[in-house]
Amino acid sequence: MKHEDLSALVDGEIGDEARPSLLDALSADVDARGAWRRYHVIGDVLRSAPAMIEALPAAPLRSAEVVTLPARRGVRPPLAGLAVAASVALVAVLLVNGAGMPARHAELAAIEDVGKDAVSPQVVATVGDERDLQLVPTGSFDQRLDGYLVNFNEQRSRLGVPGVHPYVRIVGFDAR
Amino acid sequence: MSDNTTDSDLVQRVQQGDKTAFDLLVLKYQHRIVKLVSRYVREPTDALDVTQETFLKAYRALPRFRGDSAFYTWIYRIAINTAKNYLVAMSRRPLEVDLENEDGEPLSMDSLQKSLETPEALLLTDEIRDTILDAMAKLPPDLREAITLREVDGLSYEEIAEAMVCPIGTVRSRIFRAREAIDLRLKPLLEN
Repeated sequence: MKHEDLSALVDGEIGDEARPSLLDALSADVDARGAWRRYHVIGDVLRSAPAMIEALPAAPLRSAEVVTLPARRGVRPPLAGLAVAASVALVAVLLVNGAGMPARHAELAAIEDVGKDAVSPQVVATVGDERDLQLVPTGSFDQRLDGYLVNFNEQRSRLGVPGVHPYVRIVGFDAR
Repeated sequence: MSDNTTDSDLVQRVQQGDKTAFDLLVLKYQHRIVKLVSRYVREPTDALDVTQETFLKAYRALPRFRGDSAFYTWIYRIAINTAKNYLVAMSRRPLEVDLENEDGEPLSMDSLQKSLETPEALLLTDEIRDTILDAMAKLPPDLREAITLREVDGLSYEEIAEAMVCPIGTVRSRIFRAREAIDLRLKPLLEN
């Protein structure tokens, strides 16, 4: 007797036509009768302890459900690094130029909007007029900023400080 | 289809003289009846005696059982009455068990007698409960959910399929696999 049929019989989920033959088989099969008893014991115990069942720890994941994530660099969209780099560069430009350029707020806002669309600082420079070119970082500035970030990150363990967040370090390498 | 339908089939078989069918009813309900009786009769040995008498009374009365109520409801009442009578008597003398039916034919309730040889198994000890719960904890989530919806919440396969968004065949398979996994741990305990 198939125990899966027995399990369904225990649950009263066998149709009228199949049930008589299954009961015949059950009556004649000592092993199946043992399982019949134990299946009911399982049900009795589970019904007597619903709170304990709810309190059971989370079931372990099956091996097929364990997903190994690829390295962070591998899953990052190619333009994401550029987008963050553009934001960092823009902040640096604002700091370098100070607050003495109130007339250019609208232009800066326009540049910032473009930066959100993951366009590199170099591309941003091409969309403005000649005056705007002074706002975007030059190549040497960009290099210095990258160099600073890389050096700082390399030295941070000796300095005993938390250092730059990993994504900043990644930006430093990927913006090139 | 329901659990009661299977019981009705078994009752009919007993009424037609199939004693093995009564064994199946005993195997199915013995633990529930012991637990029920134990609420009235604290002494485990006495509770087992009252349980045995309950099944004997049921067997004798079964030819007159018309199926107006579910079999379990019917035997539930017999168990309660038997336990109350026992408490009234309180004579502490062993119950006189007549192992013959109305025709004077000896009963062959192998399962009941076998169970009474191992009362600790019939009483569902803490070890049995802990083993089942531990096996439950180790089940994959889909199996655990399926058997919980069935045994604890009492849902039909169709309702479980709707709840778990899967075919009824999958529900049937999951519940079976859950039972098999638990039974693997339970079987040695009950057999020993």
